[in-house]
Amino acid sequence: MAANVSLRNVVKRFGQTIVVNDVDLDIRAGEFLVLVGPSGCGKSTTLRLVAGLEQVSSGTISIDGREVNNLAPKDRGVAMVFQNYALYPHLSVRDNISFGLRLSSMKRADIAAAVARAAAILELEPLLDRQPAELSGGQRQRVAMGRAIVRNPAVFLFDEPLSNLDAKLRTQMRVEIKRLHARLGNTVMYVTHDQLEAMTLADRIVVMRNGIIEQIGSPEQLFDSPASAFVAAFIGSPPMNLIPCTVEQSGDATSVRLGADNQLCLPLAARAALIGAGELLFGARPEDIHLQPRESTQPLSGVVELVEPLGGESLVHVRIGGELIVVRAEGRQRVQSDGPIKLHVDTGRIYLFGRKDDRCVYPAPQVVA
Amino acid sequence: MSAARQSSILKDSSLLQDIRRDWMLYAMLLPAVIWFAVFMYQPMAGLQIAFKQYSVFKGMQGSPWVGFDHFVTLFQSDFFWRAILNTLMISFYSLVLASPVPIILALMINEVQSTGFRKTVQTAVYLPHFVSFVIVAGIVIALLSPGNGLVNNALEALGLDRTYFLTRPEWFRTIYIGSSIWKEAGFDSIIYLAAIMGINPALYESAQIDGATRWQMITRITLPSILPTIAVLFVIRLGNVLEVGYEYIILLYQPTTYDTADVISTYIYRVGIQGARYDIAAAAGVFNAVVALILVLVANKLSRHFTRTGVF
Ligand SMILES: Nc1ncnc2c1ncn2[C@@H]1O[C@H](COP(=O)(O)OP(=O)(O)OP(=O)(O)O)[C@@H](O)[C@H]1O
Ligand SMILES: [Mg+2]
Repeated sequence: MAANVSLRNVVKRFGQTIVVNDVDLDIRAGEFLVLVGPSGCGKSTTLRLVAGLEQVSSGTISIDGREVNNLAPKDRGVAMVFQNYALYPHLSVRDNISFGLRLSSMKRADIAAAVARAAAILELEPLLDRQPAELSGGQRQRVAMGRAIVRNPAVFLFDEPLSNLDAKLRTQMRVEIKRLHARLGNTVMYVTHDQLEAMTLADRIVVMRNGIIEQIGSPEQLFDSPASAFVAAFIGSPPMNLIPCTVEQSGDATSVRLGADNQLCLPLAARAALIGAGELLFGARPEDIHLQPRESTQPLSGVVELVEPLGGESLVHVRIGGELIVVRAEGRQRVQSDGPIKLHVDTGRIYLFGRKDDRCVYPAPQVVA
Repeated sequence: MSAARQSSILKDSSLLQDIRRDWMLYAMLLPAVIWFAVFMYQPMAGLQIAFKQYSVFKGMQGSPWVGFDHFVTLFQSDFFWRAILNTLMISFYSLVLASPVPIILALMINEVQSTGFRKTVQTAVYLPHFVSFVIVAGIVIALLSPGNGLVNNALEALGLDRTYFLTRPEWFRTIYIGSSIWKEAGFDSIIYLAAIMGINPALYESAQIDGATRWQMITRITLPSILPTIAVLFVIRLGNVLEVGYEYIILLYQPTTYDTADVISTYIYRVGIQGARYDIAAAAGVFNAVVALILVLVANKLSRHFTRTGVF
C-alpha cells in the first residue's frame, strides 16, 4: 500500500516568520524521498505539515489525490517516527507497538496478529515484554518503527530517526530502513541532515534552504549537477572545494584564474555560458583532483598544509593562492607536509557558480523533471 | 592518574576522605544538619518524660521513672481513643478526598490553551496558600455565621433553615476538609504541573497521529507519566496522616464539636499545655510518632511494590 503525496504552494508561518515558503512537491507512490538542509531550514515543519501536527498557513497538501488540509492526523494514513523515539516509558514494547491499534475498536486477536507481524519484520520478538528503559538506542528505534508499521500506513514520515545513534549503529539501521522500504513499498518522507543517509537511501533528494526548495533530484543528479554552490557544498563528503576565481577570455580561449599562480583553460563549450562573467566561484570535488596527471587534467600548484591518512585513502589539504582545498588521494600515496605540490584537476568535472546568487553557470544547468 | 593515587582513592573512601574531597557539598549540607540537630533531635531528649512522673520543680533529671504508666492511663481514657479515631477519620477523608484534587486541577490547568487565561487561573488558585490559617478560619466563620453568613443567607433564600454549622459535630469534617482543599489544592497542584511539563511532547504528537482523543491522552499518557510523582507524594502524605493541622482545628473547633474535631494533637495541646500534664502529653506524642513511622515504612513498601518508586 502506498500513496502519492503532493504539496501545492504550501506556506507555513509562525507569527511573522515564514518557515516554509511556497513549497511545491510531488512524491510518487512508493518513492523514498529524503529532505535535507541545514538546521532550521524547515524540514521538520514540512514533515509535520504532512503529518497534520501543524496546519498550513496557505496552500494545499494532498495524499492519494485527496486534500488533507482539514483532516486529523489519524485520518491521513500516515505514521511518523520521531527523532527521540517518543516511546511511552510506562508501557512494554508490546503495548507501545499496539498503542494506536488499542485506541481503535480493533479486535484483540487482530491486534496481536499485527504486533506479531511487525515484531517479526523488525526482529523484536524477544523484546516484546521489556520496558523502553531496558532497551538500547537501536532497539528503541526499531520499536518506534514497529509502532509505525502496525498502522499499515500509506506514507511513512521519519524525522531524523537515526541522529541519536552512534555511527556504527546508524549504518546498520540505515540498511534496515532501506530493506524495510523495499519490503513494504510504502511512500517515505525522510528528514535528515546527514548527507550520506540522504545519498544512500533516497530515490530523490530535496535540498531545502530557508524554507524554499533549492533543488530536487536523484542523488546522482544532485551530485553531478548541483544547481547552486549551496547544494554542491551540501552533497558529497568531504564537500566540494569552492574558491573564488576570475574568468578571463582572450580570443577563443576561456580560462579561470585561481590566485596569482594558477590558471585553468576551459573547454570551448564553456565560452557561451561565460560571456561577460567576471568574478565567480570555482568548484571541484576532492575526488576530481589528482596527484598524478591524467588524460583530461590540467595542473595546479600549491603547498601541502596537512595530510589526513584514512587508511585506504588520504585527504590532502593544499593551499592554492589564499585558499585551502581538499584532495582525496587514493591508496597509500606518500605526500610530504609543508612541501610544494602539483595537483591535476579534471577539467571535465569542474563547476563555476555565481558569486552573488551562487547559481551554477557552468556546466549549463540541466533541466530536471 | 598515577597508580599510587588511584589506589589511595580506592582504599581511603572513608567518610573523612570523602569530606576532604567534597567539602563544598558537605558545607552546603551543614545548615540542614544543624537545623535537624537543634530542632528535631535535641528535643527528643525530652521524650524521656513520657516515662517519668514529671514535675516542673524536680526537673527532667529529678523526676522518678514510672515506666509505661502514662501509656496505660492514655489507653484507658475514652477521650484519647476518641482523638485517635477522629485523627484517623479526618486523615482518611483528606487522603481520599483532598489528594486527588490537586492532580485533577493540574490536569485541567494543563488543558487550558490560552496562556493568559491559564496564568490567571493559576494565580487565583495559588493565592489562598499564602493566606494564614487564622484568616481562613475567620473567613469560614464569617461565611457560616448563623446571623449574617453568606451560606445561611443563601439557605434562607432557598427556603431552608438557618444552621449554626460550626457547633454541629456532623459538619466539622466537611468544613475542615473543604476549606483545607480550597486553601492548599492550588498550591499542591504546582508539583503535578511541573511533572506534567516534564513529559516529552512527542508522546502526545505520536498519540495524536495514532488518533488518541484528548481524554485518552490524559488517561493513557499524562496520568501514567506522573504516577511516580503521585506515588511519592502519597507516601509523604500517608506518613503525615497522624499530623492533622492542629492550629486550624483549634481555630475552628468548640467543645460542642469535640466529638468529631478533637484529634491527637489538639488533645495533647489541651491536656499537656493547658492542663500542664506534660508527661501524659509526651506519652501521647511518642505513641503518635511510633505509629506515624510505621505508616511511612508501610506506605513506602507498598509504593515500591506497585509503582517501583519510593521516597527511600
Ligand atoms: N512552533 C514554532 N513556533 C515558532 N517557530 C517555530 C516553531 N517550530 C519551528 N519554528 C521555527 O521554524 C524554523 C524551521 O524549523 P524546523 O524544525 O522545521 O527546522 P529543521 O529544518 O527541522 O531543523 P533541524 O535540522 O534543526 O531539525 C526554525 O527557525 C524554527 O525556529
Ligand atoms: Mg528538525
